[in-house]
Amino acid sequence: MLLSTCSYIPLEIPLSLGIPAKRLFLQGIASGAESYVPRDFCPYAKGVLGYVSGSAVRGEPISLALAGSCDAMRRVADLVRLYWRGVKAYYVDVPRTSNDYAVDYYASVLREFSCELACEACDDNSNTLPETIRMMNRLRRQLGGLFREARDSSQEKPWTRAIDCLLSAGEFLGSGAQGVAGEQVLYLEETGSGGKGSPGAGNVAGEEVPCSEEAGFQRVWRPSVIVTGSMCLDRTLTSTIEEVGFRIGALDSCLGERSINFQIDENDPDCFHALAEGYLRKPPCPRMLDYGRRMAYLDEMLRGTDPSMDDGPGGLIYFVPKFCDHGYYDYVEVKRHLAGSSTPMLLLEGEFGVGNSAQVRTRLAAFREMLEMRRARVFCPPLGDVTGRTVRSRL
Amino acid sequence: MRWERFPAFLPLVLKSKLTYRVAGLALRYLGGRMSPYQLAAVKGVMSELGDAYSGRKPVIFTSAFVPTEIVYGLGAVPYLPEMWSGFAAAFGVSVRGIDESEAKGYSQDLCSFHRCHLGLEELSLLPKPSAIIVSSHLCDGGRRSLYAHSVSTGCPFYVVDVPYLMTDSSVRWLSCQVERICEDISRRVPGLSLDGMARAIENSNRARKIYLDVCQLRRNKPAPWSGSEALNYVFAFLSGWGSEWLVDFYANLGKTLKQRIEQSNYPVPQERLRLLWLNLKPYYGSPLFQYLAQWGVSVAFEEYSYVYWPEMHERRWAEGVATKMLSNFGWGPIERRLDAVWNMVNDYGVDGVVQFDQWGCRQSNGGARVLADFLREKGIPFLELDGDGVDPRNSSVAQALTRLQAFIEVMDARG
Repeated sequence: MLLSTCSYIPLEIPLSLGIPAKRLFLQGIASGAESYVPRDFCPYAKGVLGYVSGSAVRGEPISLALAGSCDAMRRVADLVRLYWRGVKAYYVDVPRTSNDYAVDYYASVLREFSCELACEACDDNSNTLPETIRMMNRLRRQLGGLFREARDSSQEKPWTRAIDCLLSAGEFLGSGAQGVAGEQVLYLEETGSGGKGSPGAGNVAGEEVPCSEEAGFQRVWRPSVIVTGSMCLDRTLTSTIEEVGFRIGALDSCLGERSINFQIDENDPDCFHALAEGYLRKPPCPRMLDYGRRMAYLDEMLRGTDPSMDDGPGGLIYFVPKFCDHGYYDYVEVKRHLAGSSTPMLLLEGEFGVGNSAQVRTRLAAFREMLEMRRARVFCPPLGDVTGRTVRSRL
Repeated sequence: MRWERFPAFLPLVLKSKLTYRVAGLALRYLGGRMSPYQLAAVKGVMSELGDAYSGRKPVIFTSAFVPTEIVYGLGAVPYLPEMWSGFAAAFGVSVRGIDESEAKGYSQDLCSFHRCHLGLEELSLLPKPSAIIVSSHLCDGGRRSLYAHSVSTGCPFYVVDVPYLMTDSSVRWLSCQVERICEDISRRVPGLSLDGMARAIENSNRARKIYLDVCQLRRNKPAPWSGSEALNYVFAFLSGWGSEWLVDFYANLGKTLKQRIEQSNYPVPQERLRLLWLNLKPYYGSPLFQYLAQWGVSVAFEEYSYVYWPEMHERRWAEGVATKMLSNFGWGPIERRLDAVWNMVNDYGVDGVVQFDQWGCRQSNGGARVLADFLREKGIPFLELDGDGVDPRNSSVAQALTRLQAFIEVMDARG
């Protein structure tokens, strides 16, 4: 199985060669990573090393496609290559820009990546790649639909369940049971986790989830928030955000809409060019040095979630994995970008399992209270006095 | 000189033309007390600072590993904010700069060199850039922090996207980017053109040739140049390529080192052990190097002084610059850095290697384990010394000295 550490690496290439592949999302840091990297390395980098170390101990045959997402991941690529020789590591040189020159260069990188994989798999993907691209486009559309439905859903924890479907789809791609094409989408359709019906109709295991609207969940006003950042490490953050009583308007993370809100041009005769273009121009991650596009995407999300008056003011939750340089800098840029608007921001940083922390829950609850007070000010403006004290006394 | 309290008049002093006139006069009278190479560097830097702060020439901010040949070639003054964080630390204003940036939301977990210059801008201590060029290789913080400058000053921001490996196609793509960026800057910034490019490359090649002779002299035992001073002149190595003054600086440095060898006038006369120093050092007056000298240990060479690029072709300047960027041993697979370190260990006959682990420097610190294992295999002791180059609050001197003492004992035990 090929595990990708970056959502800019197209899974279409290994899948078209019959190699099971998925994006590597982790649940925590397995032991065995700490002695290889300094203490100020991000949890994902450490997590990847821990995972590789654990797989080696268990004797699981894995391959890794690593991108130079940041200085830390570059070093992880070195460490995997040098210390776990049994693990086949491919370095995919993903550019930081997305202009035409970068697309051409990335197309050549992907062509080489494909050749390397084809040599390993003793296979050729010239016929299967277009078909796999179509299949992955369909899968992204299905998952995109799922996330869109989660946005408008009145049911309990729709985003956490959408993430579960995304992870589950990844597991399915990585299981090797999918054949060549089309069946992944079929799988999602069959399990009701995409396209057909709302996320509340059934989770990936087909279980009925009680609709909380009946339990009075919808009766409470829920402030809408956008969750953004360099990477949401795991599902605990969104789960807690929803538990605290927020309605998520958009989830801008690789473990979210950033991995699925794009399509590859199926009519481009050069599949590698199409892949390079599609992936480089997908919703930008803070690793890309494409700040204008990143802020425009953020604005688009803010408009999309409609933090307008009829729903009460919305907010933005920015999550940074500890020691993530891209996230720390991007947070200040986003803060500066939103300085003119009235969108309040909350910065959270942490490790895997961040959502399970009581401190994070308390901060989220305080943020929610603040948004509620703002809403009270908008919808019940105090007579004469507009200070916070008046509003608080009314509440 | 230490300014614990930030003097409010400092921005005015920096921007006044009078300052540079007075400094020029002072150099004329007091320059005799300096070594010729020191005088060459100070003159070069003062003249450029005068041009930059008074607005006589356009200023281009660059991240640390963008070849400054292109900036000189365009006719602008290069300004590396990270480097000036080091100067700020030496003058005692870095803490104030760091505090300013943290107040703006920058995390304490980021490299302090970058936090410091972001704060210096808040204090109006940086000149106004006409353009900013960053490279995507090495150091994530460098390019991100410079983007913040471009937003606050509203100047154009250029990214040189450096491919991971040196191949024909990567050199082609990179040189095409360099050429396009330089052409665009020359169109957008008044007073700049590509006319000086060949001259800048010629200067760079001349300086490189002389510098290689200087490196040859530094192989002498005992070491003729103190590593601590060499690390102070890292600014010349990072920002001087393409200038006239760098040629002068290295030529004079070479003469001085030759004289020192002839007269046996060494910074550590009783040299017992020699070190290779990786990454930077504390710039706020730390006793580390004095301590080493007391024990007869000299820093023979530094990673940041290593020439890693070939001579450049004057006409095909963009290709030369691209090759220089791709040749950086810190970029690409870590084996390149291992090779470079091993070459330095052999060339300078060192007994041990110290890596200064700058807080937040993921690209350098992330390779420490590989380096340690590589050097252990070769029988060379290796020490990782945690610290902070510009924030004295983030370093423990006593702990560092204890670790250095233990390291000296390890090297002594080897015989």
